[in-house]
Amino acid sequence: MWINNDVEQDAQVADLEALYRARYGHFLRVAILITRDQGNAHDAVQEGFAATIRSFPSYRAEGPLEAWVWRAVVNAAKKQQRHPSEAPLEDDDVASAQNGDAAEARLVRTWIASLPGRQRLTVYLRYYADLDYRAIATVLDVEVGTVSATLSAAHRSLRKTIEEVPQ
Amino acid sequence: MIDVEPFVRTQLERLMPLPEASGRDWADVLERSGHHHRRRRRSARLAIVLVALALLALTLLVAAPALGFRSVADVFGEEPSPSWTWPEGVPGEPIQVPDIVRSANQQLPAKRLDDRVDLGSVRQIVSAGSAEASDAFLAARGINGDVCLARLGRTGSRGTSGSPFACLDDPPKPGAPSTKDQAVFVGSSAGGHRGSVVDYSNLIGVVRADVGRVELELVDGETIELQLNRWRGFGYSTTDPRRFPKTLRVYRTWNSLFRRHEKLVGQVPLQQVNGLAPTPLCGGKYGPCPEGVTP
Repeated sequence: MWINNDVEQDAQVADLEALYRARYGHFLRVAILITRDQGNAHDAVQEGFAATIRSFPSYRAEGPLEAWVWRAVVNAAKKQQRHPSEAPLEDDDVASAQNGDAAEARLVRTWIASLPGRQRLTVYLRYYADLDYRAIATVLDVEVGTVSATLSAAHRSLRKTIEEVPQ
Repeated sequence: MIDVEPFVRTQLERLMPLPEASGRDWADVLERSGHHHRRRRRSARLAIVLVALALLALTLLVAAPALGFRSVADVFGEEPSPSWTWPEGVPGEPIQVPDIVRSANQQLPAKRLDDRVDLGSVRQIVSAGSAEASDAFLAARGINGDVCLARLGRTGSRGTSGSPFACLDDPPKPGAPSTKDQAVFVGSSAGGHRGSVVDYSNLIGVVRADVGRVELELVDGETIELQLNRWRGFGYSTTDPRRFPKTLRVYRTWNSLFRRHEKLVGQVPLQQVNGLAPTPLCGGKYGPCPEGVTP
């Protein structure tokens, strides 16, 4: 019996390795945004994947494996956080914007900074991790409807920011 | 209403592109997770179980017969029982019935009428030798429905000779073992191109269904294995006096879970060619003779 379990776990580890190799950059980017430190972010990604392997015996395949990993990485990153809530994009995170794009970049940065921590994390998972609503719900351990409502609120906030900021 | 999703996606991507992935280190992930240690522990556990199973199997193999139990190895391998039957009924390749067989069949004395066979069922199980001298085992359906065997010899100079058919279900002759107790029937012949020499030897045979291996000891001391054909016939022929047949041994064989078994079930000392000096065929179409040998 334990041999069967071990074989199953080996297959899961192989799947996880494929995910790590394909999406390491995406995990690292979100972890950087949460921890505000590249070294800590790398550490969080490593620890998140390791925690996923350790939790395989209790993994019941409820939801996609990637969402399970994102949850572990986000939790590990939160533990490494320099500040109590997810920090917004700061100048040193931002690639140098071209002249024509500077205004839009500033606007988006302002919008992100204005979001409450939970909304900001949902935005990161939606756009930087490229997760669908169901996966985001698994990561944040909330209902899909909550994710939908959170993103709608964030988008409303962005529209408001666009209207307020003089062009 | 503005669809903000594409806008947000583009702007966020521009604000923070994917970072370099050069820091990827999967080995570090495995190390942190303890997966390697678990794997090593698992391998060690598996090795212990395998060694324990091997020891148990070995103990059973060695100890069971000593304790009076039937060997474990025998559990899955039954020793075959002796039988003179063939799946196809009458074994062998259909042949044109030789005249000598036809006339012998028709001229059987009244007391041996039971050995009469159905001439339409005559087949050849095996043959050995050359165009000058060959021997063959024939099989046919007896009038009682059993299988009958006969030996047929052909030589260039003396024509065809042979033994009459003897049926396997015949009652044994006084003092002779029953057919079932005989593991092999053999026929052999030896001769030469003139009366004073022996320069060939043929051996043919057919074995019981339980026999799986046939061994032939030669005059020079070597022992060779003879292959059985699909009807359990075997043949051997030589013109080398040192390679003449000396003793034939047949073995019952069967397999069980752990090994192949065999048991000697027949040993036949073959006719020794004494007093006659074997000489090679030579002269004319046989090629030049060795020194001191006349063709």
